[in-house]
Amino acid sequence: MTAASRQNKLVLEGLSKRYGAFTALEPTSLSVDDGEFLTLLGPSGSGKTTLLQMISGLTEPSEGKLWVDGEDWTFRPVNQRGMGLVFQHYALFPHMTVAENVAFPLQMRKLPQAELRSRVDETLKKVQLDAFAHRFPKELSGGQQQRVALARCFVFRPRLILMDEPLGALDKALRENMQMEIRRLHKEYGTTVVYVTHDQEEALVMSDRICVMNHAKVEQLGAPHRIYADPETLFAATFIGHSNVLTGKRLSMDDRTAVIRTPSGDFRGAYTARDRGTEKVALIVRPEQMRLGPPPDGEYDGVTGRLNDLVYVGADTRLLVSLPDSTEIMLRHDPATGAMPAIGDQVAVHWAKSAARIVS
Amino acid sequence: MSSAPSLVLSRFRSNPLWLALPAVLLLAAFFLFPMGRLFLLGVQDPQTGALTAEHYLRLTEAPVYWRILGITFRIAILTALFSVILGYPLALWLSRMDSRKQSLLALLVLLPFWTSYLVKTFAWMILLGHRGVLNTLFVEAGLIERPLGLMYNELGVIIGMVHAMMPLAVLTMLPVMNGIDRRLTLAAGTMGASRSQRFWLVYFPLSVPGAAAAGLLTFITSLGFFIVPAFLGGSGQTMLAQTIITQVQELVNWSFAAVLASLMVVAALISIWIYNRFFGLSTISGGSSSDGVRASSGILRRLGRRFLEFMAWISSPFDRFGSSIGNDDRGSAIYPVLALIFLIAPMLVVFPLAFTSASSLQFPPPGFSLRWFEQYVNSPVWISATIRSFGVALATAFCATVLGGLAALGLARSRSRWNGPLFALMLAPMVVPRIVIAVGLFYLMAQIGLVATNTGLVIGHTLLAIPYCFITIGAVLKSYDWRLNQAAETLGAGRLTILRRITLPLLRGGVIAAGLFAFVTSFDELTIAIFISGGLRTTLPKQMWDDMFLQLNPTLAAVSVVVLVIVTAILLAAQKLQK
Ligand SMILES: Nc1ncnc2c1ncn2[C@@H]1O[C@H](COP(=O)(O)OP(=O)(O)OP(=O)(O)O)[C@@H](O)[C@H]1O
Ligand SMILES: [Mg+2]
Repeated sequence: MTAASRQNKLVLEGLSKRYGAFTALEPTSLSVDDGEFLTLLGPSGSGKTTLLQMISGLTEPSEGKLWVDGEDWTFRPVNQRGMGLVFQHYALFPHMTVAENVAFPLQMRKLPQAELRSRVDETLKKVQLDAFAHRFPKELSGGQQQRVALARCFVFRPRLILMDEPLGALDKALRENMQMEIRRLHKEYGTTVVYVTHDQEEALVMSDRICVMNHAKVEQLGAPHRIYADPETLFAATFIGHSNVLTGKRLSMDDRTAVIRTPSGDFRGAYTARDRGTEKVALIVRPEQMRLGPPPDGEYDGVTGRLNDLVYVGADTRLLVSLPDSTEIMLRHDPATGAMPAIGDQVAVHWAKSAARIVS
Repeated sequence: MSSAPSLVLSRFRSNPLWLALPAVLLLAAFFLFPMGRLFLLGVQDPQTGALTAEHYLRLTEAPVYWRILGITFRIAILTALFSVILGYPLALWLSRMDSRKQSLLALLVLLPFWTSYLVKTFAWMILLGHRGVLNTLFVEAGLIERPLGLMYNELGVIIGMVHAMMPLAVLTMLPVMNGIDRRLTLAAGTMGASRSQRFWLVYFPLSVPGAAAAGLLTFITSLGFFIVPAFLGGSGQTMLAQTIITQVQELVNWSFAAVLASLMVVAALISIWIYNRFFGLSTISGGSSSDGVRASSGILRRLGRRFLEFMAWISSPFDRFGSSIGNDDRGSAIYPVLALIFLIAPMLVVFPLAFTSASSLQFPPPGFSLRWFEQYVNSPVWISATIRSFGVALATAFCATVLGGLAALGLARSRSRWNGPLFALMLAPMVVPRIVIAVGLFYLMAQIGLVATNTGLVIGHTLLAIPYCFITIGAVLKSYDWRLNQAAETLGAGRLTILRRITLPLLRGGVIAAGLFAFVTSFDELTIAIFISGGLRTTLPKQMWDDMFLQLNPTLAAVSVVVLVIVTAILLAAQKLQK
């Protein structure tokens, strides 16, 4: 599918939420394509749940509009939206069996009994819970309960599914398992998914696009590799993957690049900051882009500092270098490519100007 | 060999269940034993002591007793039904508030819960009488021509009983409703359930254990009721408890009184058994039961499901009165506020009448005066009754708090298989109808010379107050961090020192609250006082009871105001301390 042929499934237009004087979500505009897996990623309290709940209709927005398939759904009652929602603590009905839980949304849609049965059976098989159909939720393990919640959501084939940290209560191994499960169900049904997590690894693994949120605002929205390669804000750069950050003032700027003055020198980098007016900016270089040694030619920039620590992480070694202004940077070093300096040595570090980014 | 005694001693010391021993002994001697005696009386020949069925056969001879049994059940069932149905929306409304607001508004339910039945009944007599407040107002407003017969009939009894029992129903349902996960109805909404479907298919089944527990407790309490029917009912509303009182006090027919009391206990036990069958008793004792009705047979489940679907369908036309979007099934506050007014307002009627200048209870009062309070203060009978009530209540508060508190401590620290039975024993005095406890106690105390003594009264009231102290202190113990005790032990403190310096100070709020509840229990208590307090030296409730039979007068209103003010003050204090 090309971008042009894709339909906007969901469009948010300046949607915001205030509780009295407190702003839980600044006016936010974004659109989600049909069949896309979008993840809302951000620290606690950044407004992810608030945003998701306004899409689901559980919370009424203070301002703005919500469009689904080109229709204004801002004030549509929650039970007429037909969206699937998976809660962090599953919210399984304790007085109903697994099968009854999964059948519930179908009953609400008045499906004929025979079709209902076969749909429930089929969905339970998909999540490998057919043997547990007549158990009550409290007789299941955490992972099994989570699968019931997923089945209950996928069973009525909603075209849009919202998940709020659905794996938050599971341990790591089970979580990775369930991530794959959700990916699979998403692909199989071609559903649009909006997914909330504060685990960046989970976001990177699962999403078509990530929406990074902080302080009730969207910081950056884009495909995982785009956010990693071209972060627009300091927060996005540091929240996803590790970044070396040199802060300073902007000296000059052209269409795509800018020069920043830092205590360690002036450096050039691609100017990715969304806001083109700010003076205070930061230079971002990922650890894997940095090499030991002085810059070989004009295409490279470099700094020198004192080697503070060496950390062995399997294949490569991480070097922690502190600059004269006590900024700390980290780089990876493959011992096969050169001699290993000792702790306390003065070392030179360089990187390609094309690999550096300047963010606000 | 020499180590054997010390081994026994250390075993004795280390099992925390021994802390419950004093309470167990008291309950065994003055609760279990007299109840057993009472049961035996019903099947023994009073002269020879031989087993006989003659007393039970009397039931079959006199149809009047069947009628009384029928009336008692009818009134108790109607009371339970109305209390639960009318209380349910109020409890629901309260459960949806944040906890601060809830505990504030729950006071408006707690207050009538703890207010003496006598004061409540007295207030209803003023309201419902032929020349009562309501009839006066209605006639003056031109709504009716002649006064309506609002009391001395079943209507009056049901109004009075429902008013007396609704607080209990609400307070029983509230914790269950608080325990229901609100996200469940939200989830149902996202799956397409309408307002009425969310309520009937998801919320309601989860709240049924609470509603059933409320029905059970109000039913059992109503079975043993006599105050309301005695004053608000006619001869057609005589209930079992009144008959028992007559049998004991006027006819001195112990055997037949024992038969009637046994029947009452059996009815109570059967209803508890049925409840336990379906819901499990843990709901009542405060365990959250969010899984609803116990897994029952397929047919029952399916029938229940059909019924709920039908209810959802019936109520679906009202869906559009709800909010248009979102999770707010908050509903209107109109009914809950009316229900709270129903609970509180009747008791307020005693205030204007206590300050009336007239010498009758006419409404509205023609003028203001303090003469009835003067009458009260200057009456040696009233003052001595008040002083006696205070003394007995203080002693009861002390005994019940110590005994109930130690028992709660013991049970909280023990994982023994005796926990279950002991737990049931501690709560039993709350569940067995008071009239039965009182009659059994009277029989025993008459033999050992405790009738008409303060000791007898304190023992009786302590029995009744132990469950409240046990529950209140047990609740604070739940959140107590036992590692503090271990920490103190490693620092060199002995057991008693730990109790005195660590445990008690931390539990102080709960312990004082328990004492206050026990105080109010005793201060308001009538049933035991009727039998035990003796002729001249009465307690305040007993004196009110006697006066209310003779003649309604403004002094009673003044006394009611005094009682209301004291109970309210104590309740507010307890509420504050429980935080
Ligand atoms: N009902 C409410 N009333 C007042 N403030 C609220 C309410 N709901 C949320 N907030 C506030 O709005 C902000 C955003 O909350 P939200 O639940 O969206 O955060 P989140 O990103 O989902 O965080 P988490 O990762 O912890 O779930 C928080 O500061 C929160 O305290
Ligand atoms: Mg959240």
